[in-house]
Amino acid sequence: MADPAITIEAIRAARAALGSHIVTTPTLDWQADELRERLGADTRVNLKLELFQRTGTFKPRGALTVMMALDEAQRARGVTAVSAGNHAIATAYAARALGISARVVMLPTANPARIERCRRLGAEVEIATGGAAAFERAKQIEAEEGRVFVHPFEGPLTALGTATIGLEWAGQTEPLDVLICPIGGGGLCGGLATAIRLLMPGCQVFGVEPEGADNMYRSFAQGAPATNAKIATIADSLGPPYSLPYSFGLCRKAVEEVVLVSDDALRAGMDLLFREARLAVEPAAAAATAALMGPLAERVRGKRVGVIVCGANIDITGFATHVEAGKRITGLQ
Amino acid sequence: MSPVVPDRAAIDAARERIRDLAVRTPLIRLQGGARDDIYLKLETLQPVGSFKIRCAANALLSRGDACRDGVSTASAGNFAQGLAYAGRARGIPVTAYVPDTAARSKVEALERFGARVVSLAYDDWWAMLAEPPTDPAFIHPVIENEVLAGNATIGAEVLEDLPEVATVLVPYGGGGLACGIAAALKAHGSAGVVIASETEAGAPVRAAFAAGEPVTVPFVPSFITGMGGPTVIPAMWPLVRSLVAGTALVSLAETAAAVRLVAERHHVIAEGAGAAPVAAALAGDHPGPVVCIVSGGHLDAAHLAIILAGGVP
Repeated sequence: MADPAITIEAIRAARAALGSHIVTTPTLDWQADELRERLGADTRVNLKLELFQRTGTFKPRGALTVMMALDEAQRARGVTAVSAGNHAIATAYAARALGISARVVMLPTANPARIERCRRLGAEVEIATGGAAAFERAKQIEAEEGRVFVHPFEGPLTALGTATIGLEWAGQTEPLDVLICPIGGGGLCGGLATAIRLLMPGCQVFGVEPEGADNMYRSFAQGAPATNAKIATIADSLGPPYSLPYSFGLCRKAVEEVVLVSDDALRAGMDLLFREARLAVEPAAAAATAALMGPLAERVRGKRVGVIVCGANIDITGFATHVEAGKRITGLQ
Repeated sequence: MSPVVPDRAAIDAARERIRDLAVRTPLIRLQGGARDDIYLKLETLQPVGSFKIRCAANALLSRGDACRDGVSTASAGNFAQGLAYAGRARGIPVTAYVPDTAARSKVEALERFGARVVSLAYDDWWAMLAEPPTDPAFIHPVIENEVLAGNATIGAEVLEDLPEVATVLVPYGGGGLACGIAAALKAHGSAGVVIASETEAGAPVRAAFAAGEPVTVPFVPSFITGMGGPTVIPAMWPLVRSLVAGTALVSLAETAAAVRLVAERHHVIAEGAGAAPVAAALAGDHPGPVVCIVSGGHLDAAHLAIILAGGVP
């Protein structure tokens, strides 16, 4: 099948096809004293609350778009995927929604609650001994059972799925001057940025990576997809060990610049979303907020800024530990 | 004297008035429950983290020029915060009378929003609430027409997003939220009903319905603030009796489990009062679609940590 181009028409068709399998996530004009103090009173921040998406992350948009394009025979054979959690849950959700069988390979580090959720969504779950073994096993499943491998971020259909976020957003807010989006593999950012550039040509898109997972940043610098053997960040879902060509190409074309944030800045972003929006997010979902308050603060002054809270399934006990550590948050009781 | 039940015109006017200060909050569908027709109205996303911005802003702005020099209220909680926030935005000085028992953190939050805070002996403070001063610049947090109209804007939004709503579960505190939302359903001709959500920590509405009048019930302080209380405020009883269709009682453990569920599935931090309606929706067999008013997110961080770890504070 030829790669579909990401055009406004294609994005509209993709959103229509997703129908009620996904929700049009709400946006929020975010008003908080700390924003005013840091960014000035005339800076306006609009949050896209993609964390309210089905399964708690944006991932089903891509997984569903990929799986809806499968032919009858492929659907009958089913799909497979590799994931530590969010993509596995999204794949299981999409498979159930479309009546397709899913066998997902999860990493040994996967949270037991996430494994349980995949199973409850009807997926068969295997636990691999490590990352490389997981991909090996998925390849084997692909070969032996004829299942289609649903990639966590790479590919035109995945990007078309994430582009639907931009389509929704453009209809929910007045034109934005700046948009900030986290980058893991670049599947979210590539699709969203492409859609925004089509629908709001005046809007600059900035990508955000953790300092300890800076593949796209380095890919931009060298002009080709980079690999990074060392991933060291608390934002575990933003840390694939490499960039891939399709997502890199989309980002390169539509993203102004990739900025980096430290783990402490990610924690501060989590804290701010907790205190000023009563949201409990994982570090990855706070990355755009961290960039807003950190490296991009001066550049967004006086502008209308879109910030995506992309969602990730929170490790609830981990979050509790974080909350307990951050006693200063009780100040707003 | 009981407040006036707002009509369609009063509710529409309130929506227009508060548009720049309060946000139109999203209605999202609850995931992970036993049924799929439960919705959450996320007032946690309001500035100041609770629905009180709506009623405070409406009460303040409806007074017009008469109160440009300042307003006052008797509240140490979310209402005073909402009023202070709105007053600051409009350049109107706000004085908050608080009981001398008020937590330091609450006083500090009010001062951050620029309010003047005056501490009174608890009995004097309570007398101010029970027999409000006639001063037009005094805004009562519950017994006040424009407070009801401000709260009613929530009901109007729910009907826009989910016209077929059958049940709205509303945490019962002073009664202004439940009666305001019920007034909106009625004004719009909705067949949906409002159920007062209560917990075992204190269920004055259930007792009042049983007795046919407000009675005093045992009230146990718990991690749930902003709802419950020893009795239905007598001035609110005529409204409650005519507007509220019934009550739903849940335990503290069920409420804590609901806090955990919305945090886990929706990343939303709800306070006990905001989660109690969710617990009630999951425990009961209310006709659907059911909307739960997640009224606010002011949960003590230590309590939140205990709840997320599976406990009941």
